[in-house]
Amino acid sequence: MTAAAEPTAPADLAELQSFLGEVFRRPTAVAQDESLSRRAALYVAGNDRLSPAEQVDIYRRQFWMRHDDCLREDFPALCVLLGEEAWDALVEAYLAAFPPRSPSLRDLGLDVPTFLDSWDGLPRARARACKDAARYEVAFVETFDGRDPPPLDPARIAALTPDQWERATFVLSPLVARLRLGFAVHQLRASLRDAKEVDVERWLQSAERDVYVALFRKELVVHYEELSADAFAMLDALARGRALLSACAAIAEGKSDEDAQALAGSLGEWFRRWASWGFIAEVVVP
Amino acid sequence: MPSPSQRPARLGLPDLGVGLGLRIPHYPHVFEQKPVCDWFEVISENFMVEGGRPLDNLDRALADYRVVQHGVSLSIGSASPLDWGYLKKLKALTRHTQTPWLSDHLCWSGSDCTNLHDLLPLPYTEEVVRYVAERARIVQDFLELPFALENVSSYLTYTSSRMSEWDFVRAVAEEADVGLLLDVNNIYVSAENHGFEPRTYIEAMPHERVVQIHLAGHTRFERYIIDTHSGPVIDDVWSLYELAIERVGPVSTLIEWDDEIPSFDEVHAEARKAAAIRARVAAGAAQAAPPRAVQSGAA
Repeated sequence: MTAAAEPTAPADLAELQSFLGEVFRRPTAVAQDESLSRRAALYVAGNDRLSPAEQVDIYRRQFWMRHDDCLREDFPALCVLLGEEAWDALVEAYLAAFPPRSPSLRDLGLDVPTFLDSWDGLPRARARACKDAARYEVAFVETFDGRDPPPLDPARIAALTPDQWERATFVLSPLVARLRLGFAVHQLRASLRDAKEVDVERWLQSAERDVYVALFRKELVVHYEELSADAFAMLDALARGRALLSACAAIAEGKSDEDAQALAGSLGEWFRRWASWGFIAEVVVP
Repeated sequence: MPSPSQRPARLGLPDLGVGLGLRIPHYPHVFEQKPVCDWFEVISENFMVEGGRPLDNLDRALADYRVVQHGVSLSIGSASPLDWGYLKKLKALTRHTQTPWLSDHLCWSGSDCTNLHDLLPLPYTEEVVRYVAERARIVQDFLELPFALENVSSYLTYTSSRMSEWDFVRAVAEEADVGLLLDVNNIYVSAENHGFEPRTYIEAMPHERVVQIHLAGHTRFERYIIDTHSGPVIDDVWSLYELAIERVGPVSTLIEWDDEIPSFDEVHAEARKAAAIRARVAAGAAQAAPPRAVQSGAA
């Protein structure tokens, strides 16, 4: 079946949908705009209770309510950080810049981090925390319902020789997101999930630090784990396709003998935990 | 195409009884208590994902219940081309659920690459009938599954409409040769909003094409009604349902409750009301039927 078999839409249907598709996405009432009300009356009949513009405004209000609700659900931490006024401004500006395109509301907020990079409406004092929250919450959406990788074959892994392990590269599970953050937004989101009251000003003061987080799904539940800087660097190096020995050498570079030894001592524990959490999807031996 | 009198009731599709929309607040009760329920309807788009909790929940429902898919994003009346990526995912899901039919709305949801995520009414013209019917045929052929279109509730009418809503719905279903999902609450809501007689609408339907019925509550505002799927089904809608069952016969019926969702038992009580109406109509029909001829040899 190809698109060539499809009928062409009647021209007046396309024109009507184009007009309404625009006005339903307007943030302000059509009924308050005389010129637009006149245009609406060309397409919409109205009745003895509602003018054409008022009928259009019913759908327009629903457009904003529906998409606002959806974004609030996906971005609870960002919403709290922004506060109501800035949140409303964000939703209005975001949906204008990135109109919904996907049939699924699940995809509605995926462009929020990109949008925030250039939006000048972020409160300056909270801008970095907001951007962190947006990145974290998009990662959460994607981890929640992403595809599981095929299971690792334990017999094959057990059969690898020490030499093969040194040369091996690792494919990380697509259900592991690695996030380097400047604020502990994962904890903020967890507090909100637990319906805890959050004093945002106080939280901002206490939560600013270098944070390395792995967000992952295990047995259908999305978890986060805060990692050390070295563990995060190791995971990052492996994700980029570096062999284990080479990744270790890169991370140990510039460290004292004592720190390098501590790093080597941590490796086994890291791998044990990462394997149990399903971080490693495949081991590739060249 | 067979004439209406030659077509079997419900286009030959089974009567599943009275089902409920499967909703997240009821998951613990449904999956753990496994209450008696004739069938569940799922919103296709909620499960058109790659993995994780949604698909696990779907599989748990499939393990114990008959599941029918209902969609909200097909946008059959959009002036934009059909979304083949969406349709392929939808078809894959129908294979997984083994849904006996698939329904979506007789509406448009967006155009010019924008999706408004709403069920917007179409202008009622012959030209639009032909356009939508052809697309519905394409969809049904592609899905290789009986396809049904649902009448939507509406809060506006178009200056370009040239026929009644019921004539439009009937014409699309006939020309596309698809089933109808008759939403009785939507008929009531639109009738109140636009001032027509809802019984006329039900009488005018091609009854043998009705493969499913939806029932729900709504919210009344000062100058219009919105189809919020909130609250119980009101008495006027139950009366319309009874009329629909009298005309259509026993047909799979679904209770929708999507806003301020109460306990499973409260929603299920609505299903029991629907079942009682079906039984009452069936008993009335049996009484009205002529006595059967005595077979030879019978005592």
